[in-house]
Amino acid sequence: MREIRVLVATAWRVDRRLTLAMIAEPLGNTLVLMSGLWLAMLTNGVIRHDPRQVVIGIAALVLGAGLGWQLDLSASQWRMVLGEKVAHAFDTEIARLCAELPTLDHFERSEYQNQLELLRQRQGLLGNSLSALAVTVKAICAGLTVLILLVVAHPAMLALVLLALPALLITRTQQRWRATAEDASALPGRTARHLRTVAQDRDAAVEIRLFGLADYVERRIDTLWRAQRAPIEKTERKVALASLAQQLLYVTGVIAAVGFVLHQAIRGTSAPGDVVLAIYLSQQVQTAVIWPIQAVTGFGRTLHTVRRYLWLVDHARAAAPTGHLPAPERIVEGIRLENVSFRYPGTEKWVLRNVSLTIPAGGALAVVGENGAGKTTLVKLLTRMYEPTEGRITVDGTELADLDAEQWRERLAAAFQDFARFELTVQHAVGLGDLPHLDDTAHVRAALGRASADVLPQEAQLGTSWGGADLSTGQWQRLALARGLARTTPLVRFFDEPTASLDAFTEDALFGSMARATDGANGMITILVTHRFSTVRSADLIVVLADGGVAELGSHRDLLARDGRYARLYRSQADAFAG
Amino acid sequence: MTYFARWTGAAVKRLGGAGTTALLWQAGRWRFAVFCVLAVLQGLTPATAIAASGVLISGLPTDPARATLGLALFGASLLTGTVLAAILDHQAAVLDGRVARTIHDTVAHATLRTDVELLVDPRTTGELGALAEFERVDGFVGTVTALRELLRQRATGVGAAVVLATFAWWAPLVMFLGWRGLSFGVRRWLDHGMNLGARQGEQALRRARYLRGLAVDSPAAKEVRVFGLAGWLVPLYRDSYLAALEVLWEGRRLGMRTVLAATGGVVLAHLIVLTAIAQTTTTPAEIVVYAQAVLSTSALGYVFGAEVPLARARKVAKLARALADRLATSPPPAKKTANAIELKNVHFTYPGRDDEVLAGVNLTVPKGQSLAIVGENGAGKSTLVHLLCGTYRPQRGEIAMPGEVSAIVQRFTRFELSLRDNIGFGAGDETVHRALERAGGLSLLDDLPHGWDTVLSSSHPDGRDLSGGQWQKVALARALLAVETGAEVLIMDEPSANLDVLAEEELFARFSELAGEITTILVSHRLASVRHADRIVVIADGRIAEDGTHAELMAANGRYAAMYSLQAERFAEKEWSHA
Repeated sequence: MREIRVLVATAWRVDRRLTLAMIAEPLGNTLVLMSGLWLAMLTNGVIRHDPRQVVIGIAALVLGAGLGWQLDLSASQWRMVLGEKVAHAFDTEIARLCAELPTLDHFERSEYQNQLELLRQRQGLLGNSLSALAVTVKAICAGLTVLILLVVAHPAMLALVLLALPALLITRTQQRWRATAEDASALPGRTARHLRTVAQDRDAAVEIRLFGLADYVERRIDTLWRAQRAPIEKTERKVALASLAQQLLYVTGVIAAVGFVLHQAIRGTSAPGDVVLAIYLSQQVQTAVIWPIQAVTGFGRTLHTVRRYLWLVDHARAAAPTGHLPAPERIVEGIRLENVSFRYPGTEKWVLRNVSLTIPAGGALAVVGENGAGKTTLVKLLTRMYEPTEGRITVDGTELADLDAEQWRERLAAAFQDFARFELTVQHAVGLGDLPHLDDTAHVRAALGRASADVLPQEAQLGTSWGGADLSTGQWQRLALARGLARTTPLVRFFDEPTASLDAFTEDALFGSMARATDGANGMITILVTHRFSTVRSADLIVVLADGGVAELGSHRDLLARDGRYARLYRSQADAFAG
Repeated sequence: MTYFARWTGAAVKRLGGAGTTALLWQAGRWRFAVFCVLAVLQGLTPATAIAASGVLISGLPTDPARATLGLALFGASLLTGTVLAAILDHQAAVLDGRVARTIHDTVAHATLRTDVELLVDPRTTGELGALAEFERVDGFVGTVTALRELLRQRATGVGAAVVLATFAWWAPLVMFLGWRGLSFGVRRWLDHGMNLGARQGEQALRRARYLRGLAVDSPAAKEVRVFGLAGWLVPLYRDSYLAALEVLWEGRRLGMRTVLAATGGVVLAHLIVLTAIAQTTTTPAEIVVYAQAVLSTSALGYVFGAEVPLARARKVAKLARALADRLATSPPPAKKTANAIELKNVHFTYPGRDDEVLAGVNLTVPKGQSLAIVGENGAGKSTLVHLLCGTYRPQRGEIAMPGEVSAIVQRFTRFELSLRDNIGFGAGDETVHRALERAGGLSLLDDLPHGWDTVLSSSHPDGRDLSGGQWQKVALARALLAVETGAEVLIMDEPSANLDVLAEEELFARFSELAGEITTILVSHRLASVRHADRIVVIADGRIAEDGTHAELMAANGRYAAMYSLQAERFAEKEWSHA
């Protein structure tokens, strides 16, 4: 019951008043449910000329109606607001947990992706679960009230409960049917949603118009929509038929029950008021039995989402990096990889295998190799997005895994080929690279200068959907570079294919500034990942990765002399310029 | 029949609002009209049950025959109601699906065909964002169910009012006023809330959600970790979302006075009519019937669970229609065709910006020529490509094309469809096969578990995502298929950014095979590939700065020569120092 505890505790934390109101609401609602009793009292009072019963009956009816209305009006408001508050509290927590997860497992491995997809993409899910809890409590209270009244009216009427029981079975079956139908419609539904997103996408718009895909996409959406709805509609027909059969049985029972009490009244063993109560109640018994069951089942489903959330909490706790040693302020000797191997947990394939190399302080390492050779994984290990499966990485002799991960990352800088397009102001999009200087205009101006990225005023908003500027891929990449160059004295800088979309001048200027910064006094190490060999030669050390292992290692000169893989690829690129 | 349909339409219009009606009518027509009538009939059954119970009670204790007749009538109304409910349940599910489909189709139809300029307009993005916000609540499914509930309730209320009128003509009027007194206010309040929701959805909520996406989604994941952005992004999301919600809560807040006044009206109405009934009636039958009727008039008031979804549906219908109307554009003027690509004094400025990206471009490309466009980032290359593709239209100047255009755009779309559909979009198997073959991508099939039918997405069971290089081949095949079916111009915009060197060489080789057959245009920073083009133009400051063959431009010793030398030097220098 950790799920319910977390749910209620969160509600209590975000708004005590509303939480109490939600708990109190079902109690107020019972007064409304007792209308049958007051009606009977009024009837008996009028017949027996008992003004006391008449007054109580009317007063209770009036109060019930007024209170019911007010409760409905207010409670729907409370539920909405509290639901939104709770949802927001959970969503923030989910965002924090996801963003702070050190690894990228949840993006790169399908089993985690499935677990998190729902939590990540659909906000507000957990707000509904609180609502579901309130409805469940309300339904149970309502059920109990009606059952008690039933006993008061005539114990024999409890037999109606028996007739309502098949509904339990049928309801459960119907829910199973619906779940199956939902499963069957999930896949076409997802694809249809994808295509609808594509239909609105500005990048896709170009191809859609060029290749005349509008009709095709529309047709596909329509087909997928049918495929999505068909199992649902078929199931709904089955559900309706099952309900009908069960309802007819029950209604027959109600008629019999009313007939029974009527018979008693004609014989004089029951008061007319009892007949009234019987008529009124008999129609409520079914709801009183089914509603709580439905509510509990529905609540069970939403608890599933809470369970996912708790899984994330546990997962984040387990994944939290363990090291607590302070990160060094400078690198004196260098970074050493000793027999480092890596494979994703639970998989067989080694992404990196027995990589050993030493990067001297103040040095620059170039990592080359084809796509899939393990270049990016090396970067992920050094930035501690993953820990090595075997072997160890040391910084001046201290194991990297023992360092405080957050502190270590504060001393890194990076620019990636698949950079993010932060649609913020230019100032913030670049300042993010050095958070303590986020709003420091001079600092950001300097970073923009280093990346030749001063194309827009710093206060300009980026992104057309916010009314901001539209940039070309190359311009976006320059901003990403400026972000990577914002920290002025990092210990390690990573450039993962940072110039793919840059023009020749910018590329050249960048290598200039890279070379200059390498003279840093703190022993800064530069790691350049690329498949463009022209940019590699200035590195002190070049490692050629192939199939996760070190194929060649040495300086440009060494590797050319060896006349192996590196030399071959280098010459083929050089030849493209020759002649 | 038409009259009947129009009448139903008008009745629904009062309940649901004009936009919703048109939408519902479009979604279901006769099915929908019959549905409404059945819903009203079902709503009337409780009133007949009340009347029947009156007959039943009035037979007590002396007239068993009359009581039995009452019982029979009572049973008949219950049974009728049950059968109607089953039919309506199923039909509501069917119609709900159709309504959602109509909304989706309206939006997709418009976005797929509108001018790209209109599509990227911040206002459009905002409205699409607002619709997405509403969709998150119920997926647009639920309108008909809500409408059915409202119709049923209103019919129940009207039935009860008719019964009550047999007691006294003024009684239903008092109850009606009691319930409706503030209903108008409630409805206004609801619509106000929905408008506010839409406005917040267009801006503040959408912005907050974007920030959350940065924190939790994959594009920025690596940078979020390296730069430690979780601690900045998450609170920013939390506070901005909360601020947006607070505006909503403030706007939706129902004043205590309103609630009390509403309750007061209801209580007073009940008190007046119930007291009158208690004072003037003498038989239990009358009391039962009238008191039940009084209680049933609550159906004339605010119907919980129906009015909120309907208010939402009204807003959604309005938004979708307005968006579709605004996006509806007249078909573009017939393209001028010529024997060559001809640009005459072309000027272009992005909407909302002051600076001209293209400031008078003049260019004639004869049929069959291979042209390369180079220039610095932000010089206007991508804009020129957009104009050639017809995505944007120049503000001044003329563009004539020799025929249809095909292109590999920088950010091509990765459709979550099968390999076959990603290339052919419904074209014949043979054509698709040939296109992939020409793109050099037949080896892709080796990796795909279901060959041509494999869905290119890892989120599909049995699907497979492709690597960047493999996707590029799919995009190339897509473009080549268009060439095969008659495109005269093939444009390739920086296609090699994500490719490793071998894949890049292969791509350019394929591309140059086409030169001579059709006109090809290549935009690239990799000048070793560019040099083989028949002709190279350099764009600078929105104009064509240099124009000629590689040899001519090298001889001219201008920008191109400078860029080329920078890239070549990195190799040449090395070869020289090595020698």
